Amino acid sequence: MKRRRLQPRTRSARRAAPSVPHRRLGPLVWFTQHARSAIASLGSLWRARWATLATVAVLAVAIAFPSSLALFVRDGNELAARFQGQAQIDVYLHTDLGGAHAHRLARRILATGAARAAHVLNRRESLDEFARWSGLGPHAQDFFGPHPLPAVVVVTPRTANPAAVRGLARTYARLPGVAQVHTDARWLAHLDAFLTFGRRAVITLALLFALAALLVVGNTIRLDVENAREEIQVLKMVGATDAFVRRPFLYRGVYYGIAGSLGAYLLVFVINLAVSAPLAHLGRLYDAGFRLSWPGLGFVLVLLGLGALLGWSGAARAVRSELRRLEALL
Amino acid sequence: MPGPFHHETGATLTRGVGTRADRGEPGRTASAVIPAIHAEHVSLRYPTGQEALRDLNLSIEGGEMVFLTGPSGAGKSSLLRLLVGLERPTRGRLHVEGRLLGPWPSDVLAYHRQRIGIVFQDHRLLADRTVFDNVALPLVIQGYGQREIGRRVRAALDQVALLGKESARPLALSGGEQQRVGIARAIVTRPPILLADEPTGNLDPDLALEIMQLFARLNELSTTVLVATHALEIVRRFRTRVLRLEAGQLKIDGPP
Repeated sequence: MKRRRLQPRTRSARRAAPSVPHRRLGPLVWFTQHARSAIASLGSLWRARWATLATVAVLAVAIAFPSSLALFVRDGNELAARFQGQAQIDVYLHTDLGGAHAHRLARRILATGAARAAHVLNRRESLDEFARWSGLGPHAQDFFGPHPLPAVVVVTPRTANPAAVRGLARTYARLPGVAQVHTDARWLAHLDAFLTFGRRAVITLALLFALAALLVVGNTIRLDVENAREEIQVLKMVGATDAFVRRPFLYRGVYYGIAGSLGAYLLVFVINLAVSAPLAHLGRLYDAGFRLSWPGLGFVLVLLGLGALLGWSGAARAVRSELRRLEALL
Repeated sequence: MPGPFHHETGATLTRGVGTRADRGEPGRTASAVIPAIHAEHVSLRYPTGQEALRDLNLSIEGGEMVFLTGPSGAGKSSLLRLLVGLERPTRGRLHVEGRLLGPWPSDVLAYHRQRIGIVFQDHRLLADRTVFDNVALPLVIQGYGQREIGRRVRAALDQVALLGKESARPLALSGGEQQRVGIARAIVTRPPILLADEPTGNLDPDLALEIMQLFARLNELSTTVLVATHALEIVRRFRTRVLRLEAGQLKIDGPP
């Protein structure tokens, strides 16, 4: 048989409830009660320090994983922005045209206003550049026989937008004397797609791990409430409001969240320490200058805020349902 | 200046409760008397189908001391559960201090319980706290300051002859002392109504009598006292009203 609900949730029932004389709590009393709860909660966590440590460790791992990934993606974004800022269009001339034509073409390109810079490499310079990059050195000419390389106008467009860069390239390809145009927009598009995937992965993982953190805190608080069952029943019988009973558990949730965030920060630090050197080496190999950034104060504050919010939410949800259950058992 | 056990009565409340003062004792001003507890055709059936109370009608005035007797399962505890809002009547109307008990929000229910002192058979003391902290619990809940808490707790412990035991843990006390701590906790906020559910159930006859005398002394300070008990030999030693319940029905209402 269904048990009668003792407490209504409708506004009309609240309006119909009588006014029972009681002590009204002033702001100072309210603050004092919160301070008492906050300190008592710290004490109870300390008394069960090993269980607390285990919960905090699980939370730290759950928060550290998406945080670390978020840092990677942020650094990737910065790298992409740096490359996009240096978008480049290489305009290759026919091999029978010399540096003079290349300079005229460069002035024409600059005159359109779409390019921030147009640098000319005449045929000799092209060969020198190739010799340097290929590692052939002074023997490059011997390798090719007749000089095969054209003069090149290296254009730095004002826009970093891959589509706009491709549009400019098509325009330059129609200019007189131009044999071929090459842009790095395709590579940038790949990087952009990869980073979009990374961002989406971070959000998805962050949501999943936030849910895990909520469940961990909720379950821990549920056990805490169950362990304090007798005390809660006494409190309720001597007139404690739900808010009074809930308060220490909410503080515990917030403490779990903050401690978990601090643990996550340490883990992120350790992960960075472990992978930053190999990543920097990889970046140097690709001439990308990729470097992992260390979590700054803003990151720590966001981490702490999110941790506290997660802890509070998990605790609030757990304690609400547990109190409802205990009320029925009084 | 009111003494430590001055009680808020009808004179100071918006909707007051009739007390001895209200009933026109010399030197006091009489006002409209509202019974401390008033039941009209109250029935209570538990979800299991057990009918705990049947068509109960009774009225207890403010400042009265009443023994609620009857065999086990007669409905004594069920009536007390109704009075503190742990259950709602299946039928009928139950008023406490003039307020009709209903489906109240939890905070209103909490304020209601703050105005009722409750003494349990098993004391329900928190073993990990000192006597002082146990007695102070209702005051902390109601937001009293440290100094006032200290003053009131000592006064309550003095009232139950336990002054000097503030630092003791409940488990270090005898059964009778634990019960007196429970009573101190119930009276520390000076509630107008005191309910006791088999408060002497685990005590030997001498201690039981001592506890009942304590209730009588509290009653002399205008507290309405309702004691559920099956210790008839002790009840007979008090010249006070007795309500006898049998199978959820009120069978006797009068002197012992």
